[in-house]
Amino acid sequence: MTLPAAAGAFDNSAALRRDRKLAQIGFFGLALPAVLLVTIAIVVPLAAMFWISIARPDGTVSLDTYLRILSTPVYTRSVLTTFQVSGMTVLTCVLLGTPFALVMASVGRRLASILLLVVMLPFWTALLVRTYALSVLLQRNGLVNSFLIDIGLVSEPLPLINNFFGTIVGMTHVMLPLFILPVYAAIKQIDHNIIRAAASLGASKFLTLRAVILPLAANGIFAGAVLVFVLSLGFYVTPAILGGGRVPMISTRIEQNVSVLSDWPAASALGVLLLLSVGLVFLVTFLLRRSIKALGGAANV
Amino acid sequence: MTSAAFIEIRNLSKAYGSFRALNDVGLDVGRAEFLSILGPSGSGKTTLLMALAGFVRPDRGQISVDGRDLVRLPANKRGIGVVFQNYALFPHMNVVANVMFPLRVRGIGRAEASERARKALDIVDLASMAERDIATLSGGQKQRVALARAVVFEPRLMLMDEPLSALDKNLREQMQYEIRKLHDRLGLTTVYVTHDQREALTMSDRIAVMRDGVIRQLGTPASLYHRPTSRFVAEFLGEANILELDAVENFAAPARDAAGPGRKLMIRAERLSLSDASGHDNVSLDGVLTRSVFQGDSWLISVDLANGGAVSARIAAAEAANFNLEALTEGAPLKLHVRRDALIAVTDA
Repeated sequence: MTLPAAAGAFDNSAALRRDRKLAQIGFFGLALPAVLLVTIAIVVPLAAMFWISIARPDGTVSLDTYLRILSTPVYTRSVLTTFQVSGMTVLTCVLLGTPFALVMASVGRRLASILLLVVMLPFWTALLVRTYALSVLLQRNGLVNSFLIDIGLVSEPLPLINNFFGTIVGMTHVMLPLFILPVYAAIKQIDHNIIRAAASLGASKFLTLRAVILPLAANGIFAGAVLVFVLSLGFYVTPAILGGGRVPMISTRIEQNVSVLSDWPAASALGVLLLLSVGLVFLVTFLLRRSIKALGGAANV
Repeated sequence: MTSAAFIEIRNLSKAYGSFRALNDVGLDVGRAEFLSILGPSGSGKTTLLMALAGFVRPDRGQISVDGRDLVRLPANKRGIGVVFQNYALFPHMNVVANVMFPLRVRGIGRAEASERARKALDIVDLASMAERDIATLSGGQKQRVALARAVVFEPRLMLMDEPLSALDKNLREQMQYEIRKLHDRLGLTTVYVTHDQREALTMSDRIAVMRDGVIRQLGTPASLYHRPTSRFVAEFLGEANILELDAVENFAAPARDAAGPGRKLMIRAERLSLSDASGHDNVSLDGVLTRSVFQGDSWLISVDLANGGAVSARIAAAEAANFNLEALTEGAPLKLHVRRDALIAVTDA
């Protein structure tokens, strides 16, 4: 037997390459509608917003509006408040959501899907409805206060609403599912045998959690925290209703500037600052993760 | 092995719903013995191992190791080394930190733990890779790290759940040898689960063959291979021809003595030969060739027997050359020979 001759064979590589190109172009065509929508609905308005924030009435460009905002206490305070609310929301989500995700990942499949349902249930109701429902619970004569007074735990109604506390309760309520899902996914991904191995090597349940499960779920916890923080930065409805005007977020100030003061340049500049804050968070996250990775290796027990 | 057994398992049962993974299993393992549990998937072999390790709670039964009943003891209190099929290394720790883990858990200081871990890595020839990331290791290296981690805290008992099944063939054979060497060197008692009969035959002092939650046969590799008591064990351990008892004329003692109702005659494919070696009590079988396949080191031929039934015979290359097997065509008459002591009566299940 002999092999077919390789020399002198005709070359069809150009035609094959062309076919491959065409197939690729056709494939990317599927993404085109979404790309167009994003361009028209996000990029264009953002550009307009940026222009309004730097344009003077006479058509020249300046940073006047930004300087005005940065020197006005009302605005600087709302930036601070925004970061406080967002940070506190992340903290409560981590403290409440991580144990929940752990339980969800370690129980049987049926119970896990029930727990998942409980987590997702709030998504079935409109945000505004849920927020007002919370205010019914938390207000001065609300269910929580009546109950606490009835059982004699407190004599005066507690200030549960129209303040920082009420805002955090509402924000946590909204954000918790968004935090739990990535953490649950990360814990669920851990190979069951790794946890068994830790036990066989002598580690107690607590030590396995601390030295094996949590470090391996760290990426998910981190992702959930960043997601919650970023979404909280621009949140409007919950702080506006449950904060009762006493928790001025950047988003509340933007709304005031647009609908009450008709100060479009200030609203636009605040919007740009908010966008920059989100970008800053992502940048810090990125740098942090890179340095953690560089440090990684010898984890301590 | 009676009361001197290192591991004693008695009446061990475990059901998952209506599926009985372990059905009243009893097993003794001697000190420093290498025992393999061999069986197809779903036979209960992994459940048995996991019950020993403490990851599966049995419904009933006793497990004692070195005279101590540990069936109710949690896994982390048993002090048993376990090696898993997928290595189960901690991906967020480097090599030496993985091996240090069981020592650190036991409250041993960082310096001493590091020194002992490096010694354990030296035993598995990975001393130079102590600072490497787990992700940068090959499959064989990962399994060595897992071995070092499982022996570094000096357990007396080592459990292995198909530790080599993810490796390619050459590496697997090398690791079989190394695991056995490690077992001998450290004086461990090892219970080794596998579905690979060759691996079990190669490594073990004794093999327990499991099926449907029951140990079907227990014995040395040679006794199991040459004298299976059931058709299942015969076919699981090698190439087995199953014939009716009367397929061989004068199939008599000692095999017939063991025969009873529902019994079959078993002949290993490689015990059939074309040459009639003198000096032995041989039986010959007449038939015609229906198929012959060249397989490199040997030929596998199929023969229809004159007395009914068909057999496959594995003919070694040298013998095939002597008989010019290559020239034989389908339908050619043949005479196969087999030593009388290679005729085994087995149950038909």
